Amino acid sequence: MLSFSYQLRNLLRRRARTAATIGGIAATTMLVIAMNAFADGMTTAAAGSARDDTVFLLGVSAEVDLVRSVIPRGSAEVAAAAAPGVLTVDGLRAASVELHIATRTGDQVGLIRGVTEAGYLVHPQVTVVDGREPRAPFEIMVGSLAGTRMGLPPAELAVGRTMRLEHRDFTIVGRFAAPATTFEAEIWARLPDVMLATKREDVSCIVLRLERPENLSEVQLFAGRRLDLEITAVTERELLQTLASSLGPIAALARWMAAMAVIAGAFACANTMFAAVLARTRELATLRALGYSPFAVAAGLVQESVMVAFAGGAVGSLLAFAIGSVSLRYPMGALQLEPDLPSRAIGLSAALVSGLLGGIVPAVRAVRIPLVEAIGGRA
Amino acid sequence: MREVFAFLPYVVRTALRARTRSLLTLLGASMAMALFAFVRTVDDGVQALDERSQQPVLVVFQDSRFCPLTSELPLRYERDIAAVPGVAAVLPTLVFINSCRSNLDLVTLHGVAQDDLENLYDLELLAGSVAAWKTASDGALVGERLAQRRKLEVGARVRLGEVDVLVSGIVRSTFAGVANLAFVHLDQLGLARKRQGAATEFLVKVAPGADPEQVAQRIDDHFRTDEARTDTKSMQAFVAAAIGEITQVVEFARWLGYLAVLVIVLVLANTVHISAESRAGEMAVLETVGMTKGKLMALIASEGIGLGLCGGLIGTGIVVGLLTAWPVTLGVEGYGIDLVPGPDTVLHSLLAALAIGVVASLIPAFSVARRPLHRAVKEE
Repeated sequence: MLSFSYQLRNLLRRRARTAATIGGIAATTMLVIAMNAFADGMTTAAAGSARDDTVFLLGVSAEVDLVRSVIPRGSAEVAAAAAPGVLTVDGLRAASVELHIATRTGDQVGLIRGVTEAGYLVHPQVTVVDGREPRAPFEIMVGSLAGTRMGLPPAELAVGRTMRLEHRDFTIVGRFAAPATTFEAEIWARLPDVMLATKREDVSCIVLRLERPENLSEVQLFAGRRLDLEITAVTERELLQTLASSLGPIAALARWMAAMAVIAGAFACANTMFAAVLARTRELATLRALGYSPFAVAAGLVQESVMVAFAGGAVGSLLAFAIGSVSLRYPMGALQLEPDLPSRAIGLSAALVSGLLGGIVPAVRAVRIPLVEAIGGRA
Repeated sequence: MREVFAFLPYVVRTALRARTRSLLTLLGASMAMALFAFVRTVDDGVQALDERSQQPVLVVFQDSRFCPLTSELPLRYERDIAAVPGVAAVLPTLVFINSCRSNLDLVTLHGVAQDDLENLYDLELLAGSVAAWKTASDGALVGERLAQRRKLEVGARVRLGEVDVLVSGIVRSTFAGVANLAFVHLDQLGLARKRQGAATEFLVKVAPGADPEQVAQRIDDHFRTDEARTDTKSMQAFVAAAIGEITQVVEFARWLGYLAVLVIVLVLANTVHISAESRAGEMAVLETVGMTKGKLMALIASEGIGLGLCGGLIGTGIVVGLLTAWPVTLGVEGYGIDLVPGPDTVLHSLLAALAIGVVASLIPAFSVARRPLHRAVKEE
């Protein structure tokens, strides 16, 4: 096999060309990381937080959509108190009556969730990271991405600040985190305050945390039998998968764009390697004449291509890391594009695939030239 | 210019001489230009929706509500709105959309009173008849884009947004959103969605000469203490607020488009550089027989520009072909952003390809021009 230092010297011999290829691959890598992070952010936030022991009771006409779900408050309280198989913690049933509202104030759209004390039992993903949860009237706590969702700077969402929602002033008493979930973009308040501010007499859903996932059939039977309540039972997984599936085509589109970027990167590598092969026809033939097998020469060329791709991939990954996470708002949510280790690994892998694909064809071509012609410099 | 064109066959022959290299460059540039053209299409789609919303119409929505699924106003408001000075016509509309979130399969149903529809909308019937729609209780007038996406024809019985309808006609309009919605009867939709006696919004045509802002203010003042407060905006402001929800995503896509451009610039520059290096002696001969440095630079640049333009044509062609074969509409708050690469999109993409070709060729062209003749001749 050809030595590593020989291949490295070859790359350094044509610095401008190598630098341009590395630049192209770096840009391709960044594209792949960005598109992958976007697609992941879209689908993970939607489906990543699903728990098997959590069930939603929705209004019968809601299908599996929380925004469309409406249940009279009285019916919701009855369902929360009577649903079977529900977990009890310190005497409190894990049955949360909730109201979900998308509220508009000027150009800002906020997602408000009105909850009771049981809300913190059924959504254990939510952790208060600053201040406390709302206890007194017209207090709220905001999610980590609520600022992105509403287009507000972090300072305006600091604990102690006041926020005007639904023509009422709410005091921010806490901040919460719930990584990789849709909760992060929300604002949580006490259920009675949200109902009062929005003049709503009904709620959106009842969220139940079951003692064990097997209790689901009991809850479904309960929802089916209590026709007077007009509710239907849907698992959290089913609900979030429906949401993820509606966002799926957009994520798929992003992944297609990433694939196109990889193909463009592969062509960039192939181009450079073809030029390298053509410029070194005689040199490569000499190596073969000296006894290097065609495989060794071809493998050396592929290695060169992969080395360039690796350098480009590393530069792209480092740049993506330096840029850091980016928050984006989208209708009814917000997502965080995180160039985390898996995303960067995918970007680097895509770069290596580009190098490999781009190196194989020129390498095969180089060793298929008859030795006599190649030594004569005819490619 | 004639002299430049005289060398065109020479430039083509040069590109064909290194077929594999040119082909790889072309394919790489095509893929990246397809990305760029797609991003441009999204951008142009947003702009087109904004332009179509510039109508002398006000939208009366429930105050503080975001999605049409959450706005609910009593139908009786129609009488009061019609009595407000400056109002020419009112159309109560019950809206149903399949999702308030972004999606690629937007279905919007507008339940409207059959006699009032044409007072507000300027509709051009492409197929079927409005009279047939009025007589069929489950009839639907379908926007042309929705009909195209769902492959709907007049007379077909289909399920749209969980409601069974008979396609009575296919319509076109200059109004924002109409292309992606289906008009159904208000009573039918109210019954199906259990929202009888309610409207999602009222569309208000402002009388000629009336000030839309004053009319909007009067309407909101009138309902300030009523059952549900209203928020009245011009159609343009209303649509702009919906578009605002995806501004950041569009901006993000735009940056990806710029990255794609950077990839093409580097691939092209590399190719032109390689081509110029391998023909150093040939260039020297041309210079020796009297060709000026400027013309030599033009020769080098024309290869990059040609490849860039061809890549632009292929990439844009791919996007136009795919989006024509599989129409895509990005739904946002009930409005559809149609991804239709029109003449402007194609022109912008080709201009970008031209600029990319010029930029990518600059360094190789200058490096040829700066090379001393005696050294270049030695390479022959």
